[in-house]
Amino acid sequence: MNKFNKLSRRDFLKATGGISAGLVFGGVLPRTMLQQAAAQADGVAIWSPGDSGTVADWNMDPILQTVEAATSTDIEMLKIDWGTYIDQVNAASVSGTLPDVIGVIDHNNRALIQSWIRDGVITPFEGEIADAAPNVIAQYENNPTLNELRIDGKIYMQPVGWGDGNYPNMGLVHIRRDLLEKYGMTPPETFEAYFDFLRANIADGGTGVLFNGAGGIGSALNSFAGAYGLPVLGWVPLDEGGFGFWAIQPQIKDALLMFRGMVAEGLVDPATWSMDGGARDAYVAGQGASLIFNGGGHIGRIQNDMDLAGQGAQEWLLPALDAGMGQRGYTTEPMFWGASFLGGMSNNNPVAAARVLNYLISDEGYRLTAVGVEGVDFELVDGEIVLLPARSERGFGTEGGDTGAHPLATTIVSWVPQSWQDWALLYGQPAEFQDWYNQMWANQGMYQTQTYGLLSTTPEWIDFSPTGNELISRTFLEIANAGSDADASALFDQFVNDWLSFGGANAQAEMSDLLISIYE
Amino acid sequence: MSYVAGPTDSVTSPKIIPLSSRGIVLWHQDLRRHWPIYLMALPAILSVLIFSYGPMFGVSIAFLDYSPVRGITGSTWVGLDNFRDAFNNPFFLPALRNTIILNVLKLAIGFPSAIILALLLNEMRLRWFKSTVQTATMLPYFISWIVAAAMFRNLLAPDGVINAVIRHVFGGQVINFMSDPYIFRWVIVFQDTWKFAGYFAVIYLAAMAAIDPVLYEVAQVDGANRLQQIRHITLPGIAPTMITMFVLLIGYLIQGGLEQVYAMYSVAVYSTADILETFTFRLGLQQSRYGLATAVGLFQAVISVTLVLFTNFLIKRYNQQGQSLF
Amino acid sequence: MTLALKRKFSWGQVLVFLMLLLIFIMAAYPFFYVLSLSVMPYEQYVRQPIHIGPSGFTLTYFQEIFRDPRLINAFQVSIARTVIGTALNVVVTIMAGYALSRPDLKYGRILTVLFIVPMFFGGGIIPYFLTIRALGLLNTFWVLVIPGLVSPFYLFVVRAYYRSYPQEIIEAGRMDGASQFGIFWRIVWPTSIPMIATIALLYGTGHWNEYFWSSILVQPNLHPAPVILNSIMNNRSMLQGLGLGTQLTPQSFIAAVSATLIIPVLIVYPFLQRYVVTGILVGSVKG
Repeated sequence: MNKFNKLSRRDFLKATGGISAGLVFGGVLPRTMLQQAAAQADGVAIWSPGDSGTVADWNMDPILQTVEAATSTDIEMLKIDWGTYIDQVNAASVSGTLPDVIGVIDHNNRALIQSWIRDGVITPFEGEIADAAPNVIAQYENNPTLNELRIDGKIYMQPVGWGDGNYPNMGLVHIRRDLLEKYGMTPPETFEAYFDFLRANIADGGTGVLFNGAGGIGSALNSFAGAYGLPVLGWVPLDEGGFGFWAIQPQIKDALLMFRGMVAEGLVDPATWSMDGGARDAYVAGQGASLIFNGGGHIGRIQNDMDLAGQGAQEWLLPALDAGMGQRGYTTEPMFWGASFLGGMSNNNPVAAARVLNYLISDEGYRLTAVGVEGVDFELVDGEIVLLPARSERGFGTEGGDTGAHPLATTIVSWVPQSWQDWALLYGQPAEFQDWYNQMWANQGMYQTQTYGLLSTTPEWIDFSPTGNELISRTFLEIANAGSDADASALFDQFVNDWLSFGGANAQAEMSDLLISIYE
Repeated sequence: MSYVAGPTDSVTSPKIIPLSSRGIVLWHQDLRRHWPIYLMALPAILSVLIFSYGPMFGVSIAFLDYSPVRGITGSTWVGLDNFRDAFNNPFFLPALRNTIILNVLKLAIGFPSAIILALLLNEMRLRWFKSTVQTATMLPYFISWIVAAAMFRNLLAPDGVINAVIRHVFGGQVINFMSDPYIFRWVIVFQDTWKFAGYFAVIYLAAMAAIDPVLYEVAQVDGANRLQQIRHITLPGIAPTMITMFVLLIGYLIQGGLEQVYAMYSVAVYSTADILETFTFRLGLQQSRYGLATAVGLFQAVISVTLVLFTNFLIKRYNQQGQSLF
Repeated sequence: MTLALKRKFSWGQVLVFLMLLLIFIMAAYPFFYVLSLSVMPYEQYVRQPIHIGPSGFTLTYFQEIFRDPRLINAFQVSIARTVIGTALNVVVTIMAGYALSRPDLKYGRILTVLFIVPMFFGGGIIPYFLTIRALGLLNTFWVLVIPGLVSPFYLFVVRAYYRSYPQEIIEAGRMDGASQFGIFWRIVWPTSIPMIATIALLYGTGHWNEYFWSSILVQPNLHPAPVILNSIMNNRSMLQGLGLGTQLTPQSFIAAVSATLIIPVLIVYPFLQRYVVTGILVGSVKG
């Protein structure tokens, strides 16, 4: 027998007891188990997704303390990983312990938001809450399309944005300028020229175009649909009157067939179909000749990351491509995604929470979270901001890939305003980088496709849209990978039938009536 | 089958034994005699009552338009609406079909794999090699699905090792293991087998170790080769264990696999990999359709129990040795 | 036995050897690969099309893990729940398994059924969540430990083990006038080490690996390591999809976090393996 068998129960208890006691007195348990949220008079609890970056302890964070001083609140900040955020929020709403500010939640998930309203989980900006947040109300007055976010006429959402107006953002075509030069080509204006570029890349041993395809082709269809005059979101006015949903329009079939042609010819990197966020990394690291992805601040950051990767890659953003149909464009969309909410449960303090949101979206608040406190984090030299070294120890990002903003700048009231993102990207850069950046920014919006009713909804549409969305993501992926144009075409026809019969027809009719009342 | 002479054995001579000691012990007598034993089982009993039976009362949510704030008593009764909504959802039937296909494949591949692995290990005469293989094959059982998913994603990626070998060594085309719906199905089945075969093999090895060695010696004297011995001694010897495991696995034909599939799948493979659990998770939880999620769960639980009872009944009925589960 | 063990060359043995070798590679290679990735510089990973094993060596990614306060906290939670949870699991399961194995219990069969039913029938996610909330366990450390106090499957393994336990020992204890507690505590427990080691490993790895419920039932300050690993794998896709830059998370870093979860299992398991095999062996014969 082995010595292990002689282990007596006393040894066993001693071992486990010792280890447990060690953990308790070693500080693990007191810190993790006994941590309790002490709600105070005007305490404000904020939850937002993401991580705390370089902030080790929120209670000691100078930027958060500045916000507290400006709003006379005591903020308890909790950053929750994206992977568990929505589940945590759901769990808290079930258990009646929602925070005072619920950071970014998909504003398209109206079923969830409506159920929150019905159950009194969230509270509208009304009465003294509205008085405490004039900046929130002003956004709705300055941008009338936001009014479609009202529910029963009330404002519940602080849109989490990067700008005020509308501009293309998703599904933009990035290419490698250095490869263009290598192949002796100029930036493509048409799909034919773009495919030629990809062919040249494949012949050169490259892998073609990349996008995050694991979740479906999604916004990668943007430029293709635009070439047929259609958006990839929302609603389009129909010749016969009324509005129709973009995905079931007959021209989308042509756009999908063109897309399928690109896949069938082998111009798409096979890794794309299992990429769930990795496409940008791969492109930056030198894989692929082109990337279909978001624009905005990404353009500058992609170039920065390429420089870090040190492969000599050069980023270029193409304006929406032309397929000879007389139309081209990327879908124009509001410059926000998701919205934050005020908790309306018995333990909540919505007035103080409204004060905090109001401050964060003020010019002062935006500047604070983007660059910091004057005299400590930066100083003004001839009216220009010059960053000070102390800033990097006060929670501001220093990694190459990020916006350089404080973690408070994102997922509470904004994704960092585009103006500050641009500022951060251009800070200390030579003039030629600035010119290039502005050129890319112009390319992004050079040709735009309009869409309607993006923020509107009706009860039928709320019920149907999850099913509709899933049908689109499943079927379009199948169509893109179909064996032949005939198969793809049949799949699309079947899709339109399914979409209509699963509830889309009724929901579309209801939406169309609503949109007629708004736009006509 | 009996280990110690106890009161139950006296049933064999009933006529002269008074009623109370014939095994029909009154409850207070039993408690008085065995209270320390019951006390030892008490923490486990309480735990199961609270955490397993407690939630069973919550299944009424399946019949409510459940609102978390208003609670079970305050929510509106909607009868079978949640079930109707679930069954009418266009993705429900595909998910049900995928669940059954995946589980049948897992059973068809995983069940015999474990037995074959056990037979191979049992035949292996190099002790150190046998124990090394046993250690290695059991390891996957002890790691998280998250880690298992990270491993498989890496290995099977278009630029991963397996594809590199396929392309550079065999000169083949890249295989999209993770995004081709039909191949992905087999990836799930293989991963499941990889994770569990070693563990179940140990159980069969145990049963093999319990077979009387004299049987093999007699067979050898009779001139039976190894394969014949396996067929006529080993396999019948482990049949009771096989039946037990089979019944247990049948119960899981319509459920399970959430953690595995959730960590591995993507829209590209929904058509073959979306199972009832992931369907419920997406359309129920992520959109706060609590009633609908609970309705699908209840449907699965009822089918599972039915399957187990039915299989158990069949085995009882057609198996003379009476090797049923309970 | 002499015949069966006689060593002689046979083609059958060679065939068995080769098949087991193949199985060994299939089982063990993924572990080897993830460990190689975790110590391989990411530049090497990107540069070479095939890497069957490690090329280059660096501990950068492990250093990164232990610089991240979130991960340090997560690993502390993981260790705490594994140690405390497993200790409770083992005591409760061994006691209950022993109790249920006693042949002369009037309600033994009812109790058995009580434990079998939850193996196949449950209330589902939402009712479970509501039960936890009603007990006030949400967002407490104890929710990671208490709800899974006993697993019926392991309980039956233990019960079977004690059914085949030599009853003479227990009888002898009774003759000596020991109480039923005394018999269990002084005689049965110390001689059940293989069984204890077995279920300690089964429960322990269960605690160490669990992520689904932890991600829902407790807040981030109590999230154990697998939840964080899952987040790291999902994080970048979310952030990048939303127009926000984020630093690169190389495959090597994910591999290093995976390795940190695997290595403790690799260290503990070989020590306990022989008991585990014995434990399952004995426990399952009369399964």
